[in-house]
Amino acid sequence: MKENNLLTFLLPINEFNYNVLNHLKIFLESYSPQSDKSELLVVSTSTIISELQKLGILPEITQYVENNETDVNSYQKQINLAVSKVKTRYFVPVEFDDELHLRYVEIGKRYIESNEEVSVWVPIHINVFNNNGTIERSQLFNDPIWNRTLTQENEIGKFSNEILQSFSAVNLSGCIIKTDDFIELGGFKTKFELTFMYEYLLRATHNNKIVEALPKTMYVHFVKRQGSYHENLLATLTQEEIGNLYAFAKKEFYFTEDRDYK
Amino acid sequence: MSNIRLVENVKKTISELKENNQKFIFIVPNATLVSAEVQEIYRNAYTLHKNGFKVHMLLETKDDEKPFYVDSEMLELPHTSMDKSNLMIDPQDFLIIPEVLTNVMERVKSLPCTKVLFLASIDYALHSLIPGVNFRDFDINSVIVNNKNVETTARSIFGEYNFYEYRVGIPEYFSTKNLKRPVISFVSRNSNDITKVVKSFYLKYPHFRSFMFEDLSNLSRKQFAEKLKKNFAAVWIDRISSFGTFPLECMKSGVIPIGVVPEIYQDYIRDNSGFWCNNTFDLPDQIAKALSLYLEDVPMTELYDTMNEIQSEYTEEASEKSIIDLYKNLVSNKLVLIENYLNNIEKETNEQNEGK
Repeated sequence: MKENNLLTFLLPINEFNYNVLNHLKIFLESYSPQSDKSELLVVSTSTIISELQKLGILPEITQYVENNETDVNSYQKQINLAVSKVKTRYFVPVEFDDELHLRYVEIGKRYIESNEEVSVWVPIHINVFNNNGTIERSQLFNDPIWNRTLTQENEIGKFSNEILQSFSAVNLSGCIIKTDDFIELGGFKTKFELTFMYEYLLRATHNNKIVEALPKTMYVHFVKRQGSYHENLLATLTQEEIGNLYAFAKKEFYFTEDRDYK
Repeated sequence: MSNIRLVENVKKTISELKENNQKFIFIVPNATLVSAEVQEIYRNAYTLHKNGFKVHMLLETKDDEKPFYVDSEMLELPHTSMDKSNLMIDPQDFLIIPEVLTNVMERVKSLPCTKVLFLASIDYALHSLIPGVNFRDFDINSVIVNNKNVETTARSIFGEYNFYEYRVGIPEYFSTKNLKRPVISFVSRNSNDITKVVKSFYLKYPHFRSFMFEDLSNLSRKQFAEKLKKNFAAVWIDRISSFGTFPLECMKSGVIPIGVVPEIYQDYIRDNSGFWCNNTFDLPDQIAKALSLYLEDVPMTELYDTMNEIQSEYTEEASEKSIIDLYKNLVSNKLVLIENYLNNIEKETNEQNEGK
């Protein structure tokens, strides 16, 4: 670990095939210009890690954390495990099929240094929708926090527990999270799917952690990639079940403990 | 009046001028909305006051109501309402009258003092004059402007006057703040213009629907400065401005000006000093361009360098010096005129006496 690095990118990889490799290469191209200013930590099974090391596509300074085969499809578990190995003050959970702004670290550093009390910086995403390999459309995400109609009396750009009660469309992939706070709060909850990032934000704000929006499009997020775990999960859930997961998140944030909800 | 009496009075006026005993009386128009011209009038007056000149503010309002948006220290200057004032106006005094107050010019034209036109807007000047009437019909021969281009245009319309130019200065409390919000400020004379632009913007660029516009009208100048610096860009629509200070205030605050080029050319409007267009309907595209560059954090080094270079030419210090010089020139030119007049009277008197 370089002493002066401010943040670590946590890269969970849950499968290994030609498609994954293609996406991973794109992510690594976006990471490469800033690789000397940050850490990269890959979390996956020993088999996948071994294959990646053989291919030699990851930067030399990459660190690896092995997770169990059973945990490979739990993004939350992979991140929680990886965070326990992070030595930098901040980390950024990413997805291998996403892309970073080429100056992600430089921009992130500017905002971190503006207010070191902030526990989570939430940048604006560019969500890219794919249809059989073709980009169908793109849209901004995490941006409504900049609108007065959402924030009302609160200062725009700042998340509060109150605002989050009525606004759940927030994605923490590509967000800058303070390592110590994440560990103190108990990390992501693993006992429920889909809304664990939203629940984390509710929990953080409930515990007086500062969550602020970062007004830059720093992260390109691939939505509903065919064959992805998330896509497969959504296909199995009904609208009612999805609604229940959000309702559940709104009840569970009072507890640090990862409790069963079923 | 006998020549002896006249000579005495003229000598007294000369003496008062030489001892800096003249008053500069500024007439303040009753502007219900924030007026940049009124702010400039106060700045001129306050600068003189700080430098030992006698200054008085005459308010057009009947109830002594001072403009709320002017800096508080400037409102400490002596004020009276025109209708209630029993202020003595002497021949050595100067009455500074804004172009909109032709009714006041008519009332004061026979006063023995020097009347000076404060010309901030050629548009307003033409609006205020009835056809065929010029400012010299009100015994006005001197005009204060804040820009060479305004002088050129004024000279071409109103003819030859004694033009006095001062340099605008942007107060130090306009300062920059490092991290700006993705919010666009706006200032416009006409609220319909802004509504038109904002609605067009959201229709053309629906993916930017989360980003807001913030109206900065009806604020004191200090409150305005405080809000302006928080946002990354500001829209300005003012076609009739003779020399709008808003873009300069933006530049000093590190805020990108986005605007329609006004009718009178301003030298601060150039490539890389902001996002400029000639048509209000093109503004949404300029706003979208600026917002995209901001969100993507594209370095706009040339833009910010140019803005910084331009605003550094409009410092308070340079402005105050130019204001003092202007009014000193007014005094010294008046002195020359009166001394020549005195010489002529004395010569005439001597000739008369010799003739006897």
